[in-house]
Amino acid sequence: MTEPEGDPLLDAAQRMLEEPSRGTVSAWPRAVALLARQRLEAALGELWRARLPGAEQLTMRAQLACARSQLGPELAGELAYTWHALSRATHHHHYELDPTREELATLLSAVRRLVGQLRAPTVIAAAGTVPARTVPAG
Amino acid sequence: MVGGALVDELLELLAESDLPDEVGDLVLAAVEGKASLESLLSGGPSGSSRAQARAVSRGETPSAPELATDEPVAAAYIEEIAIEGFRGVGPRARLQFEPAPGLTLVVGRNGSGKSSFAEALEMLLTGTLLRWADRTRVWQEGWRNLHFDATTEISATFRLDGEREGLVVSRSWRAGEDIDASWPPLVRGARRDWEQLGWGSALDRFRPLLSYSELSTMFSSRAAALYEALSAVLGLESLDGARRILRDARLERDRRRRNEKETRSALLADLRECGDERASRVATLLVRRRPDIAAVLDAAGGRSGAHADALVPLATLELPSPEELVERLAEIESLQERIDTLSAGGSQRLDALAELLEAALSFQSAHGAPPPSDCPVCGAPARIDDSWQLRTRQQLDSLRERSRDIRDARCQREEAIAALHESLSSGTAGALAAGRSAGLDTARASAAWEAWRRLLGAGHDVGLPAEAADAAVELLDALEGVRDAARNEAARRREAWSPLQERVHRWVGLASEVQRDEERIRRLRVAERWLDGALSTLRRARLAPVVGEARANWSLLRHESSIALGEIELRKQGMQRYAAFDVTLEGASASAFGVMSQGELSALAISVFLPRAMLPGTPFAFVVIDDPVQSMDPAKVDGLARVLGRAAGKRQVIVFTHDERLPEAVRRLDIPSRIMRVQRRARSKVEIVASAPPSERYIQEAEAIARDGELSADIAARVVPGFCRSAIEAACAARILRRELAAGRPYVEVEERLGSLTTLHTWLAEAFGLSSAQGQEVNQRVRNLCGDGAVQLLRIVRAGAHGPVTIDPLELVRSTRRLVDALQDGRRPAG
Repeated sequence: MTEPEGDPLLDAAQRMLEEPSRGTVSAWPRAVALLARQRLEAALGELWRARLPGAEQLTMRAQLACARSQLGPELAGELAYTWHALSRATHHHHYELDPTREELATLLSAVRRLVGQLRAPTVIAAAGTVPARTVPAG
Repeated sequence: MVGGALVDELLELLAESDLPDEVGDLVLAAVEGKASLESLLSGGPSGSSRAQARAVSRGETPSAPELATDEPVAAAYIEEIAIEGFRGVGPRARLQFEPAPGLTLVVGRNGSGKSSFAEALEMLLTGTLLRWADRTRVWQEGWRNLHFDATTEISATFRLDGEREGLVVSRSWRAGEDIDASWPPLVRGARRDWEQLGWGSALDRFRPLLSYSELSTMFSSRAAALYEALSAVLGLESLDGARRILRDARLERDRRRRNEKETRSALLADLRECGDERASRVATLLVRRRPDIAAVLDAAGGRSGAHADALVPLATLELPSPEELVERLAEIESLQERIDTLSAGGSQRLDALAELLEAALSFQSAHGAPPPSDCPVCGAPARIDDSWQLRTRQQLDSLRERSRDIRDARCQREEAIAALHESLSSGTAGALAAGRSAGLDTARASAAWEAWRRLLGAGHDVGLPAEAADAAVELLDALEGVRDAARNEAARRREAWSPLQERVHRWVGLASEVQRDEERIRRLRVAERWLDGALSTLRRARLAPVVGEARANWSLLRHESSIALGEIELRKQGMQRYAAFDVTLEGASASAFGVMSQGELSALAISVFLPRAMLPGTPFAFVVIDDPVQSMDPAKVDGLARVLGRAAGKRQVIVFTHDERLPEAVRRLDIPSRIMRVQRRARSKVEIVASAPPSERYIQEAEAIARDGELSADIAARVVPGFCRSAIEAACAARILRRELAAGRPYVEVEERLGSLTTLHTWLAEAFGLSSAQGQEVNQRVRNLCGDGAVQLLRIVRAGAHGPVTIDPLELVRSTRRLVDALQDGRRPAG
């Protein structure tokens, strides 16, 4: 994973949501979801590096599990929910259609909020240990 | 509906039947119209109906309005629907279609604006939305788009078969205008206006716009509603109308018959009360069940009829005036006095004395001694001498004179009495009897009459007894009284009779007509019954194609449902009409309607109403269905795809749907179709994009993003891999579906399985039929399929979902395409 580039990602996603460019004229829902998810994952990775180094190598499933103990159920819950929603939007589905503009806008603002919360000093606290097994990120 | 063809069918049915000609003519006249039927019934030319009907069917005569051949309207396809400021659409958006038979799917989430297009078409053509039908006003308020405040407009372009110029139908509303303004729609092109187009009634009957709400309630509305929905489209209204005309004509005449009966009984009652002789005679005749009208007319007579009336003798009785009577009585009185005077001493003694004297004289002349002689009787000496003879002759003469006078007076008196009697009695007895029979109260007069006669009889030749004068006066008075009564009564009867006579004449008119009607009513009844039967036959025949199609559709749609669809019939039982659907569960004889699920009912509705919208006679070459999948089982989607595909062979079928199931099925089953996606952006800007199969679409999108100059390279690098991954997942999905469904796995199970696949790895494993644990196997298979590069691709694509990659995005896209093609066995699904 690369270093987070901060708000440029979210801003780009926001732009895509509001004004389609030629390339994204029908692709914007999925593209926006991809960028948003990447931003969220980056923010989480940043948190692990400061607080629980090595955790950023785990699968998202494992990371979200860690988040529960590290961040408390409420924050972790919202994190998980938002990530899963964005994930669904980025994968192919047999019959489900792309999310609507409203749904993406909600998710995007959730990501912004979460990113801010993950940076907050109270969250970055004592270090923990890294679980023994690592599995390739999927 | 072509009038000529219908008449032909009817003529054929008539020819096959054994209906008598007169009755058949009634049927044909009724088909021509009420005026024709009435003219035929009132004795117009018979037989001309048939000839005329044949002429109509050959197109030689302009037919009556009821038979009017519709000006054949070219069938219309939809070319475009454009909306601005209506419902979910803000800035102008256009949906374009191929104006030809074929299947088009418009896919969009609820709220994406796709429904706005279906609704716009409905609002444009029908003036309202069916879903508003049962809702309060508040629901209708949101018809304008919230982001839009200029003129709202909806328009559709139609292409009529065989015409070069398109037809544009539009409605527009300025700010503040009510939804009901702007009706009827504006029509440009095709040199017609909305009325001439005549789509209003065709929309009602053929219903080419089918919505979910309508379909789901098809079978829960009134039984008669379903009947009407199916029969309205069969084009038999003119015959239905003819049947009604026959029925009305029969009922009219029935009413007249009842009216005549009522009139007759009222008239009878009044006639009896009247008492006039004519009235009584008419009454006697009217009592019969089937009165002899000629006799009644005769009895009623003319206006000023001289007639034998029991009252006439009495009314015209000639009577002396009271003065005259008094005069006569006085005369008789004076005569009586004279007689009394003359016959003082007794007229009998005087007559006897005269006889004696005469006898004495004749004795003397015959047997007497010469005078003076002795009286032969008493012997008195020398009494009988010439002076005795002189004296005796004088006395005799005087006696005889007196006798004569008495006799004269008596004669005069007799004459006077006779005259008096005559004056009182001429016709009296008969008149009294007649008066009595006429119902007058003649008691007093009769008593007086009897009294008079008694007195008269008693006093014959003895003069009138003293009471006779009083009796005569009483008699005159009584007779005058009864004569007045007779006159009054006669006048009253005349007065009472006049209006009654009028009524009798009127009744005669009515009754004559009613008697003539008897035969007509019988014939009308036969005609009506026959036409009923003919209508049933025709209805069945015309419904047969719909039934056939419906059953074929149902067999495709029913999937694993144990409901079987048999015959569909339109039935009438007395006043009730209903559509009988023979739906059975596993061969049981009872109707299965009660156990059918909502989904099955919706599927049945589509089975029936799709062919109905496609019957010949519709001016619409299109059928628009709004969200049929919503109410159906997902498992039926393949059946639905096939049903739509069949219909699309003959018609332009446009289907709005809210998820990918139907498009996926259509592609998988290789049903030719065009698929469009609708998405809504900020401020109700709606995008419409042609849709390709998912894997193709993702690749195209990835390519577009890669080539987009406006996006930064970093962004592109972050986003393209995700699309590539989705493209591979989609290719896997198509492969899995095809394989599993061909192997007979239930649709719902396969769908569930697909839903459980979340990562690229699990997708690929499932696509190759491996368990997800066999990670190495999966890569090996990919390698076998597409080489090492493909395995590399997988790694890059996975990583790229989480962050930017360094590989050239376009190269990535190309590699992805190769893998996708390989996964599909080189076969690209339709779309």
